[in-house]
Amino acid sequence: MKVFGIRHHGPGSAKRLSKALRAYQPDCLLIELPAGVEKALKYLGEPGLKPPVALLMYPVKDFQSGSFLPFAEFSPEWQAMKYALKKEIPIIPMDLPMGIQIDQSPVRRLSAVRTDPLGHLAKLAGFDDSERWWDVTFEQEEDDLAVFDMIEEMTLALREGALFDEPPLNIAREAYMRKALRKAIKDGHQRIAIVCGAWHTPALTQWESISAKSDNDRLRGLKKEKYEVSWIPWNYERLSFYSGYGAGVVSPAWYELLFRYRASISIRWMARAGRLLRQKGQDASPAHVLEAIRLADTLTALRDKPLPGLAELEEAAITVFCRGDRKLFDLIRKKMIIGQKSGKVPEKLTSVPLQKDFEQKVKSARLSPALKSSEAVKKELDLRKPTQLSASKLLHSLMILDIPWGKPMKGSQFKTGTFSEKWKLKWVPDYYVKIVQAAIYGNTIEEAALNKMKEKIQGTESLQELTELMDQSIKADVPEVIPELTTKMQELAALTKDILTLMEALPALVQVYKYGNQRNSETQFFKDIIEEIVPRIFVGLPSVCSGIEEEPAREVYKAMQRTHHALHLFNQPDLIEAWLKTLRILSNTKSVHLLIQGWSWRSLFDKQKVEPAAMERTMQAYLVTSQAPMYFTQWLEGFLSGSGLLLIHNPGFWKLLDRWIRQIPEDQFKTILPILRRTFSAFQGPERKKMLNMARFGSGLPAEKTKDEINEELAEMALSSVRKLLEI
Amino acid sequence: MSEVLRPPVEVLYQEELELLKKADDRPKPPNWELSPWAVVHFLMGGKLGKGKEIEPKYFGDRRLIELAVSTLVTDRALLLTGIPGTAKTWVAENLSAAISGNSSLLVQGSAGLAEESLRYSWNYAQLIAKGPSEEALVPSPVLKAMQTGKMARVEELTRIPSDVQDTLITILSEKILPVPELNMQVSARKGFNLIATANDRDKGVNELSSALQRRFNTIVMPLPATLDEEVRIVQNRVEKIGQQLELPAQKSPVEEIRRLVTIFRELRSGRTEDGKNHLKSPSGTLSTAEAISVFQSGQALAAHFGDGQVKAEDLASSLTGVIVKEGDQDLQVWQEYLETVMKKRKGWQDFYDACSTWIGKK
Repeated sequence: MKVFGIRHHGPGSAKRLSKALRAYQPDCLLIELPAGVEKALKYLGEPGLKPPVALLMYPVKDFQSGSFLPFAEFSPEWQAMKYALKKEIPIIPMDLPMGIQIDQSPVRRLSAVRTDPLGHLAKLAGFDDSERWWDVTFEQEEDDLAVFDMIEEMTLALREGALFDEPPLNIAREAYMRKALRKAIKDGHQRIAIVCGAWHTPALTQWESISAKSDNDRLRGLKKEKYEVSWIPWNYERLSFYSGYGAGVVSPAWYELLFRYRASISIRWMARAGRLLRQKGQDASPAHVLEAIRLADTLTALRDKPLPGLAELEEAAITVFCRGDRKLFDLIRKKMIIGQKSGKVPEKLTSVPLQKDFEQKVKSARLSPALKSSEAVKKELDLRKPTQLSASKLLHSLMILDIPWGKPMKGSQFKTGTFSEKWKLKWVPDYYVKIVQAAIYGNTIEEAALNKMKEKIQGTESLQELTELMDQSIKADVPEVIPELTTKMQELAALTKDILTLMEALPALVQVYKYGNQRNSETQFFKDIIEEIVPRIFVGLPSVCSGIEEEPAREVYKAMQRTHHALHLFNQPDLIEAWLKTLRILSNTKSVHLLIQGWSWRSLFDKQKVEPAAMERTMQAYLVTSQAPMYFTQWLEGFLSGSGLLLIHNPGFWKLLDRWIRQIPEDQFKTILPILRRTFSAFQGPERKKMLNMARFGSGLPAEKTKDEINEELAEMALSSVRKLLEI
Repeated sequence: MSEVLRPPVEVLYQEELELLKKADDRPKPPNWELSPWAVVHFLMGGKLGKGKEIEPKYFGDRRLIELAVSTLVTDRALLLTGIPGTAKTWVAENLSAAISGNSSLLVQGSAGLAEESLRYSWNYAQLIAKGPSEEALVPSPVLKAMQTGKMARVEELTRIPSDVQDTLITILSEKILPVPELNMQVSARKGFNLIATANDRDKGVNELSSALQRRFNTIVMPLPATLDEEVRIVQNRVEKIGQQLELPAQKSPVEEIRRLVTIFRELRSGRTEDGKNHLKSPSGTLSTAEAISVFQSGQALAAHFGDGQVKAEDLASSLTGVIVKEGDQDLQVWQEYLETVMKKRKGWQDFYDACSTWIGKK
């Protein structure tokens, strides 16, 4: 027998292991996988199974709490299994089966060597992280098969032969491994290859020093739960961080290159960086690529390393391609470091807990009929009823997972704060595939939606999208993402120069804040972000409103109205006070567009921040200083902003206006008429009727009682009577 | 010690350089005095053999120096950029002293620099007496470096007019300098290379043409990494300058310096020191040098018109001036900072009041 100590997901290990296995010619492969995964392993040869993939193992009874065991092409275990498959030798998973309960509690404090042995060694060798140290020491020494013996000796020295001075779980696992080994020997295998994590090597090479009985005693009486196992597609992004069983890797894309093109890795990596940067419009010629490679090589020599590592390549790329600017490299960092590869698993091989959870949720939300129907089904949900609320949550969660089973119907506003939602549900069989794909994000709909949402949040740089995501999260009831979401919002809000975006985001935030209040969910985050955004709007608004054309002014004007309402809904006195202060500045700043000036005056007047007499004087002043009637009309539109009551209740304003219209020369009047008409036609029917009377009889007369149906015609009449007054 | 106010690095650290040369058993590139490893060691400092110690010259990231030295090994010219006070010149000087044993082959860039300063000029007496000849040629520091295989230095590269900058293209790519008057060309000896420094955020500079840019590897020199480090630098300088200006002695106002440097660092990095809040950055460079000058003028105000203790009010005006440079945009950034960060910070009320009053005044 021979023990091959590897590092999980180490491309150097994988390469070396393949070679070593070919040289050793084993007749059986013992591998550090939980016993019980055999039934999934028999599908290894399926042509549709392409790494990165993962073994998903979950308890039959409690299928939500499963764990993943991912493999990439460069994982040594994957290569070992491929070899075994080709040579048709048995693959025996030798690790403790899943679902064995080991009492973990009485672990006494371990020395640094024991808690993180590799980290300890790395430190001794002058490295700040063990990953890099392993890379430099073992992964890069490609051809040396003796490295396996070296690894074994090293761990043996580290463990000082004291095989039992370990956490209980490890002791049990190693006992199980030895048991598997004894069985393999008993079964008559002659050349047994054992592939396991480097740390376990001494426990296996010295198997004879421990009696079968003591191992069996150790394993006796352990309770075991029944586990299901399945293949699911994995991807580099998920491989790049810690998830479930086993450690993630820092740079899957780098490891893939290391595995495939070890000899030419610098060239491949740098050429790729050059190409990606060229796509981003950077000056990155092949000559640059050459220079960068030379620089990386020199740097490597200077640092006494056998081969350039990721650090050297990255530094060289930044220096040569990006003129020292890290931010430029950040544009391609994700593609260069993590990579975008996704694995494939034939549909028939997967049965994932997420599917089961989905089916269960459909059942309890009473959506099964809609699931079976091949036609579109319309459904109105009353969110006050728990079953229907859960249906709503499910549909919203599925939307997060990009499974649009239910689509919001037109006319259904889906406003937070209302209790009714109208959906149109249409199930497409493809959605089953999507659910399997979504299994990578979790074993329950909630968990998957949560993780997917986190990914979406990381992936967006738009405040507007974040606001939408926030809305989705609230509706799908995944409040766990709120802190992350608001942090990102805060970040973007701080960096955006676009005040309008902030103003667009505010109403939605305030709504969620209020709605959240109703549902007693965590609202402090929203309060914080609102209080963070609002001062920025106040500070930025004057310059946004200054020196702009009518069209953008109109946009800002609308946004200001929404902000106004949102702030009043939020109802925090000091913020409203600061808002009015901002409006005061806007109303008094000459360069601010007149439409906005007018509206600011109106808002201040409504809030009784301006006395009627003073307001009249102001209006007078605007009338006098406006060089052309056109300008005043803009001011007037803002000032009246959709409500004529102001004119009806303040005869002084009316008279001023009246006098003004009288003195406008005919040709100019024609040009402003459309704007006036737009302003006045926005008023309510009764308001216009009343004004017509005022225009006809002077403001002193009481208005006739009118009915609501009077509108467009009367407005026309009002205008025609104005025309009469002006003798046109 | 010599009478010179400040001797060049190779004289100042002669002993260390010799120690290194003795201990250095690694391969040296042609015409280098030390191996790349020893050069890095000279700059970063550390133990050497038994009991010998090399004084650190650069207190930043070792990887940066390794990158710089590697660049010079690969024959590419090195461009060090960064805002004032990031030790660009100091690093350039130390590198050339360690590599060539000579840090004086230097061209000081300026807007008035002529091509001759980068190429060669003539000794007119000789020229008239003997006609064009090699004896009449007066080589520039760059040409001298080419002839002797040493490091040439160009300070403030971006201040040199663009057409003059481009003189360097042939020198850097072909490693030759044609002298058409004598119908000859000077080919650089091995070991020749060029280290340039440039300020990347100043106004009124001449961007490098992309052709020239391609000849350089660029390293951006970072600002002091931690708040404490920067506070120490500012404090140190403020005290020294205070002595020179003979300002009345006062307690070292560390707390005020710390607050000032915090503002500078936060606005510069676009992030609060606790990393929680993101911020916009103003258009100015906000270098450590500017922080020093703000504090100094505050000190002068306090000494001559106040009670001698630097307070928020003394700093507000020049602080605002340093931050608000480009009018509205910067003002907005500064106001946002005041409203979203400073206002909420405990114990900063006086600073907030002083600064917002000052903006109100403007």
